[in-house]
Amino acid sequence: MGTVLVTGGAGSLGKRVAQRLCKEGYTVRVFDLPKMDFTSLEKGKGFEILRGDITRSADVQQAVESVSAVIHLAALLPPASERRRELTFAVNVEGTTRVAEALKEANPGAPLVYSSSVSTYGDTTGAKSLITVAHPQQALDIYAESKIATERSLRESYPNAVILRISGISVPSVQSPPEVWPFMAEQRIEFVHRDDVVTALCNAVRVEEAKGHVFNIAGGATWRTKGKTYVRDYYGLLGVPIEEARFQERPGWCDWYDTSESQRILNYESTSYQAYLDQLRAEIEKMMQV
Amino acid sequence: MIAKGIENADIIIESCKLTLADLNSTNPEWKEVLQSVIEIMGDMKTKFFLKTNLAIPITNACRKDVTELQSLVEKHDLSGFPEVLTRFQGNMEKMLKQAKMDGVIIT
Repeated sequence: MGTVLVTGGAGSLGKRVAQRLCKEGYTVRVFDLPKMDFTSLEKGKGFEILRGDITRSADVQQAVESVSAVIHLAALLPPASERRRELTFAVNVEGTTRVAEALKEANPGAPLVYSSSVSTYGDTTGAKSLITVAHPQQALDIYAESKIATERSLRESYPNAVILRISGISVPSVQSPPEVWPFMAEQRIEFVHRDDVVTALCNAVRVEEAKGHVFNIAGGATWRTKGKTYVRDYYGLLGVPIEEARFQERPGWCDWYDTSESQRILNYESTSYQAYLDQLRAEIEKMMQV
Repeated sequence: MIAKGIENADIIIESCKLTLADLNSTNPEWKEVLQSVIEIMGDMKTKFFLKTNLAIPITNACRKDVTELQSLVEKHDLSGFPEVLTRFQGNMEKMLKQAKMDGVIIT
């Protein structure tokens, strides 16, 4: 087993990906900005820590040296991505292209897994059926715009890249809700459990059939619900009345997604929505014990 | 209906104020602690955490501590004050730790 580079590897998702790959026997090169916290990874065996910036060619060249695969997670996410378009494009678009070009030179043909987003579909509320990867992309914000531009760039610079359009990620821990939920109360939403996203990313590295494909990554049938139901379930576990929640008045990017192909090839949907709620309930009960 | 956590926060603030008023010229450090609790609880009232059931056990504990402090001051018996104040500080720290909830991840 070779070395897998995980860019953005010190972020909350990146750390989980790095730990999973390490557990599976890979050596993992964790690449992230120097300001990030690498503490939990530095203690473990099987990690190579590399501090750097994907906007700098020398850092990227060093990062891809002798790797057998790359999972590219590094990106500016909302709300930071919405502040300066130029910076968002420099990191998300040019940074990704830089990683792809460097990998092509260092190890052409090595798997490159790119984390894109279902937010690239924009407002899909008029759709009657599940959103497929063939659905037109139309950005609602700078972040989605940068992801669309990156996908286009990757198709040219690295045709074998695996592009995962990931839905909203649900983490089984208690978190402050946003001031306004990024969807309407009656809007279709389908999030996905964090651990299943980790599985999809890791499987995308080794499944040959995934190469060159674009996939929707979402939770599957049990996660398909309406915005208000999702929030009511969450608030209900915390004992907060749903009336406290504020929803967007205009449609957000959320919807229900066709994940039949991604599930067939990447086999990642293993946590049902109910199982997620059970995990959350257990976490809350643990926190309630003073 | 007011959430129990917010109701507790109001009682804690009020109790701290009454205790402070009766402490007179005793240890200034005690006064500083109570003053900072009033500020912290004031800020906390706008947080989501206090609206949740999660806040009930820990704010109950803080409420119990501060009521005990108030009672000691009213009885002019400050011998047990430092011990209860330390426990109160510990529970306040626990509450702040619990209330620190990370943001929701949306891709």
